[in-house]
Amino acid sequence: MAPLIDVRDLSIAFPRATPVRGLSLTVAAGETVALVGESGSGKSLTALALMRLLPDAARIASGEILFRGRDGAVTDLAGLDDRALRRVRGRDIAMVFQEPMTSLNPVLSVGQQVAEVVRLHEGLSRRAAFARAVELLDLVRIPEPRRRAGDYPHELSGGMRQRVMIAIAVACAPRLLIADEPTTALDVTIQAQVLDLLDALRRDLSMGLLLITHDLGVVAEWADRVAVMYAGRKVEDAPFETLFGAPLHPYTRGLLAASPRLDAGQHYSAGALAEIAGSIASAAGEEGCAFAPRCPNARALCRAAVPALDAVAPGHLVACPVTTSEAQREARHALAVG
Amino acid sequence: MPLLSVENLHAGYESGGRVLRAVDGVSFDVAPGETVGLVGESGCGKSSLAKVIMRLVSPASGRVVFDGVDVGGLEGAPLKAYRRQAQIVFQDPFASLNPRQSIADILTAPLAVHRLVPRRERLAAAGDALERVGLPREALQRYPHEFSGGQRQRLGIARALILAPRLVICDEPVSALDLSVQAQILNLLARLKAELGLSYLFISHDLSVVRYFADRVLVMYLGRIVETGSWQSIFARPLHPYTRALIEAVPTPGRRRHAAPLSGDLPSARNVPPGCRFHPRCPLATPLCTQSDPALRPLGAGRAVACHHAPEEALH
Repeated sequence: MAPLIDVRDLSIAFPRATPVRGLSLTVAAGETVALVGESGSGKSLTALALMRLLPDAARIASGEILFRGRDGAVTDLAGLDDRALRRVRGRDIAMVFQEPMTSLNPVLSVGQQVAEVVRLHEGLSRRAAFARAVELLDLVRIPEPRRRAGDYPHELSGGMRQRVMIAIAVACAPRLLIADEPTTALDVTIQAQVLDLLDALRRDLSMGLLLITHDLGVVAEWADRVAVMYAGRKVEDAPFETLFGAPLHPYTRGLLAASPRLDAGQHYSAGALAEIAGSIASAAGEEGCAFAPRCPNARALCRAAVPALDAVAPGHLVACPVTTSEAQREARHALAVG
Repeated sequence: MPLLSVENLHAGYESGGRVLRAVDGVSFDVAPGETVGLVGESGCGKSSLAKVIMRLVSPASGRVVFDGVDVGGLEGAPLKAYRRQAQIVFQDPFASLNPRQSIADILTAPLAVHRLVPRRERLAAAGDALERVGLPREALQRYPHEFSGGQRQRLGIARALILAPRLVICDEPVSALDLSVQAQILNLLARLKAELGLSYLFISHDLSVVRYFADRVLVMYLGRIVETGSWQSIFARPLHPYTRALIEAVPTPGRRRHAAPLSGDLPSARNVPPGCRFHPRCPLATPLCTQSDPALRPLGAGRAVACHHAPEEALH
């Protein structure tokens, strides 16, 4: 299936740094793709670039953001002017942010804020827009939506505010929804409700969902495909079963080993957690693989050049020459023996 | 004898003429060398409980007994002596270190306040404290902004340990850290506990972390402990419907798109429901639950649960 969005070789630059380099990523309609990474990996900047909402100092230094519209025509969002962008943003691509309190306007009722979007993009009258806002609040499972529409953001809980943000995002039934850490600020029982809701909306509206998160549990349960970022580059890309069942990049493997899990037998009294030494800051100024300073398998070749993303299996890309050559050797060995 | 004994503790805040009961009748012990995990969602009162134990907030009623002494009414020198033995590590290492103080200033200040080490030896003691948490002595001359989040949390731990306390309250010590750094800090805390014979009250909203790091677990909901037991028993066989829902809500590899176990929001501590405070969200609630507030009932084998519908005794 042709992807809904096809990001090719995207680099994002500030005057003195290039925090995202050569990133390629696709999301198909109805698919949930998770973009995983820790702070400083460039995942949130990538999301902002897709919405063309980068901070003033940043710019798209190279690459294309090919978006397939409702009519099937493909446009490069990286080259659109502000006027054209305003028609796309909020209507075809929408975004939900981590902190709903800072994204909502404190002096407008939530009903007015949802209605504003439908008036803008669908040209509804004030009365019709408000009725539609109440429907949307109901769609995101806010109880008593008619009464709640008159509430101001501070009168709602964190979970309810995030539902309002989602109502605003899906008001025009966008083709692609980008959710940047949508549940990080929420409690675990509320997080489950919000993920449940996002997934139901993805299905019902056949949206592509780009889920940006640092939580591997969330990824494992809700993503179809996972892209792992480290220091501005994609280091692994795989279907969720492969990523959790047979991860290849040393960073992905390190992350999985370092996370305590509810269903595992680990306990501090029986042994330490696996650690990834150092921090992402050690990637600064690195010529070759940015993970090399922290990598247990690093060789001289890792520091010589940035590793390319190799396909080790259909749909499974890894940027690690050491792992890839081992995987190939094992495959050859299996063939010779078998 | 337990190192820390919290007995029927109540504490709260007044706002707009109304009292918000953040801690509403909490009792538990921490034994020497034990890690007690305190888990609950935001607003359940877990950080308020930490503040009352540290005497940063005074209790309204009930007792906090440390090593046989009721610390609730302490003032002056005895309070200072208590605080030397009970220290706290905060969640946000960016907010809890003074950006204008060098690491040497930050680490020697507690020694000066408590007059523990002669002036000439304080820098050396601060250097030792840095090495103990895995940072180089040279860091003494640097400032907090020069360190990463994980390194700052190491500094927070060094500051808490420099007074050689017996109890350390860790209030969400790894929540602000990236996953790759979180394991480093948990391993460090485990090593320090073994080396120094520390006791921890380990507060976290993250069940996976509590399961890994606690010997015993307290589950808190709206100011109350609703269930307690060993880490093995709590996670293998949660008895309170809230504990079950908390565990069930954690996204876990191997499951796909499971439905949220609880509907509805956390009520506010300003507006505690009558009867069992969990009943509006509880899948098992009966009319009894809307009228009668269940006590935390011991079931044997270190288990206790506050639920009308829990079994009469702990099953093994």
